[in-house]
Amino acid sequence: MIARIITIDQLTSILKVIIEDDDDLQDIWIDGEISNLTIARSGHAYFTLKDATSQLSAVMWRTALARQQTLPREGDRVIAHGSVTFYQPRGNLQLQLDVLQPQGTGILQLQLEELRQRLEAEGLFDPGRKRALPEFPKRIGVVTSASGAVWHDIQQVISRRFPLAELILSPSLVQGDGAPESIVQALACLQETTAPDVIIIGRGGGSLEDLWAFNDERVVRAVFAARVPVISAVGHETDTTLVDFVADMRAPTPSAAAELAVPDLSMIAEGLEDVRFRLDTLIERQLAEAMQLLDDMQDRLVRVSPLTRLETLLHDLEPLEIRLQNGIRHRLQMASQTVRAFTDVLEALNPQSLMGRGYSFICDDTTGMAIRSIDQVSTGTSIRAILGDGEIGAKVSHVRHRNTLETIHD
Amino acid sequence: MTDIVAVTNDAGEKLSFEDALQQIRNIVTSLEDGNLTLEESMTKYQEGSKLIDQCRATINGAEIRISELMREDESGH
Repeated sequence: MIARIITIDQLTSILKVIIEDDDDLQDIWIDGEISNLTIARSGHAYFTLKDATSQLSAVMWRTALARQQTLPREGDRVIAHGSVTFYQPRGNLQLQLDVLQPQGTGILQLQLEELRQRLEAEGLFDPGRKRALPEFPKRIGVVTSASGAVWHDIQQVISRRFPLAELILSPSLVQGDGAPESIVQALACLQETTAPDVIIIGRGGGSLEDLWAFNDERVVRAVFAARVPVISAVGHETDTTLVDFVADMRAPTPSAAAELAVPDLSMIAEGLEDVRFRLDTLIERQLAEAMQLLDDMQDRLVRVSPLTRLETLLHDLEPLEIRLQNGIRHRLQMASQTVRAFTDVLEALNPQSLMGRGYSFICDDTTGMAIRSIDQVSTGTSIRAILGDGEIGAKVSHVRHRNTLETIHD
Repeated sequence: MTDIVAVTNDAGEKLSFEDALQQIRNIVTSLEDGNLTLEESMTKYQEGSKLIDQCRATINGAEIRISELMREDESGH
């Protein structure tokens, strides 16, 4: 080996390459304790990660810190994930950490947390990219196991709530080593062959290992890339997988996912009855308004019609007529009274009634003239005495003046 | 869904269930606005009633269609 002299810069450059090109050093889990923690004004956390015998300086950038569920504290025993970097200006080794988990956390969970933070940083879980579910999906795709309860539950709920839909299962493995690839293929096949409006992806509950396929980066990315909204229903409500984070909607159970996917037709049917009632009410109101308008017009027409004026005139005539009738009746009564009075007088003067009292009327039988004086008759003149009930024919036997009571014409 | 829903509007167009519901909503709204002539209202009313009847018939006659895709690897079976 030929000795040669190099500069510090050349040396640090070599060290930097050696360290930063080592894949193991760039994706490393480290067990250690936090000390000398400072959170700078910039928001970055600087601290030392140490154990009983050694230590390394570490940094956690503000963006990584923001994704932490719990902030690092002085003295914490942690499992940290990150990369080893070499900072040439100071000749320092520095750990750049992106995940800090409490000591005792299982490796699966650590990997999950690291993946979650990485995908979150990439924007896969951004609430702003969640798509709204279609109100009336025509075709619903389901990615799950053909034999599990999930498919059965989804069929039940959608058959009951929204039988207008078409339901298509794209079967996949949901656990085991082949599951992630199977789910990715099932998603692709479903979208290529059937163009669903919405996709439900899920499986029943299980351990973290059972649900592992739904934390697989390939699966998460396939869900993210889906052309239509995806509803996740993985495990029980307490289990959360990365597919739940990336899905447009997360359901606590497969049945709940099916209920989220479709409206309830029986509710729609009820709504239709309400609409029918509103339609009826509206049209009835409009008809009633039209009728009211007609009535008003008719009233106004009647008010201005000549017939109405005639009736008014007739009405005005009525008292006149009554006065006329009253007047006539009064006059007639007066006349009738007068007639009655004359009748009484006449009655009093009726010769018949005098005759009833013994008087009789005497007339010349020949001439019929009433005899008012003894001078009108002489002895032998035929006379007639008219009484109340008949007459008596007679001849004058003598004439005698009242004063002398002597016979003059003998 | 369009192919299984026998809803047609007055123009004779085949409507999806969703579109039929939307048309019904539109009809109710236009009647509620009250700017229609009586004759227009009656026409709208009859169209709305017909659409409601058809939607109901669709709901009553709905039968879900369920199928399973087959893939070469037969995953999940």
